[in-house]
Order: sequence, then C-alpha cells, then structure tokens
Amino acid sequence: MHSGARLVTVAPPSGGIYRLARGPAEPFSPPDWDRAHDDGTFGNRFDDPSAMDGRSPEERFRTVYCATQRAAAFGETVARFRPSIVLLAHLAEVEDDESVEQALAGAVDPEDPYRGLIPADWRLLRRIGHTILMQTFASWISLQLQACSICGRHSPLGRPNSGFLMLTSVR
Amino acid sequence: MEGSTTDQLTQRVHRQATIAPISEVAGLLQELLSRRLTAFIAGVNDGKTVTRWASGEVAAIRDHEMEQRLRTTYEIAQLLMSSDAPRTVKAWFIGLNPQLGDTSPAEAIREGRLRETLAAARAFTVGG
Repeated sequence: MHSGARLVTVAPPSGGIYRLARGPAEPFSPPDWDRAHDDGTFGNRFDDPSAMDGRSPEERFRTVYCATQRAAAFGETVARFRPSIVLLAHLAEVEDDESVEQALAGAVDPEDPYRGLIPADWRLLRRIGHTILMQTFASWISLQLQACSICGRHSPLGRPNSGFLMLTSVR
Repeated sequence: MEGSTTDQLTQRVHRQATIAPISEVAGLLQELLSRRLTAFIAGVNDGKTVTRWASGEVAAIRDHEMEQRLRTTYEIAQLLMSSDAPRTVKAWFIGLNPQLGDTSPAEAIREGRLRETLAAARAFTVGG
C-alpha cells in the first residue's frame, strides 16, 4: 500500500456483498490488466494510478467494486442510462424529419423521453454475484487484499452510505 | 477476453476510425444513433447533412474538429458494440455519465472532450 493511503479497514459485512459483472467470468474477479489505461487505472474512482510512477502490475492493486445491497449494485451500473435532459433540449433544436422521440427510440420510454430504458440485452449479458466473506475466505483476503472499506459517497439511488464496498487486491 | 485480443481490438477500432470513409462513419452512426443525434454530435443543425455524408453525396468534411468528433464517436461505437448490443450502446451515448461529470457522452464529444469520453467508454467495457 502506498504511504499516502488512508483507508479504513472494517470487518466484512455480515450480509455478504453483491457485484454486477459482464459475461460468464467469476463476478468478483478483478479486471484484466490489459484493459487498464495508460495510468494503470480502469477509469474508476478508487483505482491505483501508480503506473504513472513506473510501478509494475505486480506492485499495484486492482479495485473490485461491490455493494452490500443488491439494489446498490444495480444502481451504480444503471445510473448511466438516465437520459440527459440538456441533451434532449439540444436535440430538439436540430432540424430533422424524425421527432426526438423517434430518434431516441429504444433508448428512452416512448411515452416519456425523460425516462431511460435499459435494453433487455444489457441484462442478458450480465449477471449478479453474491458472496459471503467468511473466515475461510478471510485468509484469502488477508493474503490478497490490502484494504476493505465502506465508501460513503452519494449514490445514484439518492441515498448516501447505501453500501458500496471496495475490495482492493494486489494481484 | 484474452489480453492480446483486447489490445488488438483497441488498435483495430482506432485504425478503422482513422481510415474509414466519411460515408461509412456517418452511415453507421445514422443507423445506430439516429440522424438527429449524429447531427448534434457533429455540430450541424440539419439532419439532412448526415444523410449527405452517409450517401457519399458529400465525401469530405472541411471542418477538422467536426470530422474528429464523428470519427471518435464511430471509434467508441465500434468499441462498445464489441461487448454490448446496439440499443445498449445508444442508451450509453445519451445517458448521464458519472465519469463525465454527469453529462452524456454525446454532449461531451460535442464539447470536444474526446479523450475523456474514450476513457469513459473503455471503463464501461471493463465494468458495468
């Protein structure tokens, strides 16, 4: 862990953790290193940017973002499908034979374009994982995790402290 | 997905976005995102302009920044469609994105935040 880090270590939540992930892979696996940006992060808030300091992947950690509530796991990921009302206003200014509603068909509610739609394909390509961090699991954590902290940032569900959890590993 | 495959995909879509004729770029975006949304991202006021690009009636765009916005949108679309369905990609382009300061990718590209939007797209392919 970097000397400047100030992460609070807490006990694993008793109800377990949830994670929404793509594809058939283990939902709690960290992302492949080859998907990292030039700074070594994966574009998310608590990723390790120390590749900029020349650290190799073996010296860096990857963050697995989880939630202590199932709804929070969904909320974090579907937040990106709330249509931008500013964009809708801009689109109305473009001259075109198609209406804004027709142009955004399939991506917004046809009766209310301010409400987003989540295509069924999105759900079919993902799955939710749930696991309990038990004592037997804890040894794996102590070996591979540097910190386990509850993140209290404001959630897309509109509730602070809604149970986001980060697991940071050194794999 | 294997590591080399991801690298190859990133390089392939970037190369494709760089060399593709404007007709192909505009054609795909018109089909995927709609003519109106493509026009907004490009920065033109009339959807018919997009049709002229897509049909080949107008083969070149004189405004370099406008062309870059279109090519970056094409690159992102190709990248996202490698792992998600077209309707999900369309919804991603118009949604409030926390990694873009809660603006939509379409607005971010229109504002010239091309690298930032590309990074958000890559983060989406890794995470949710």
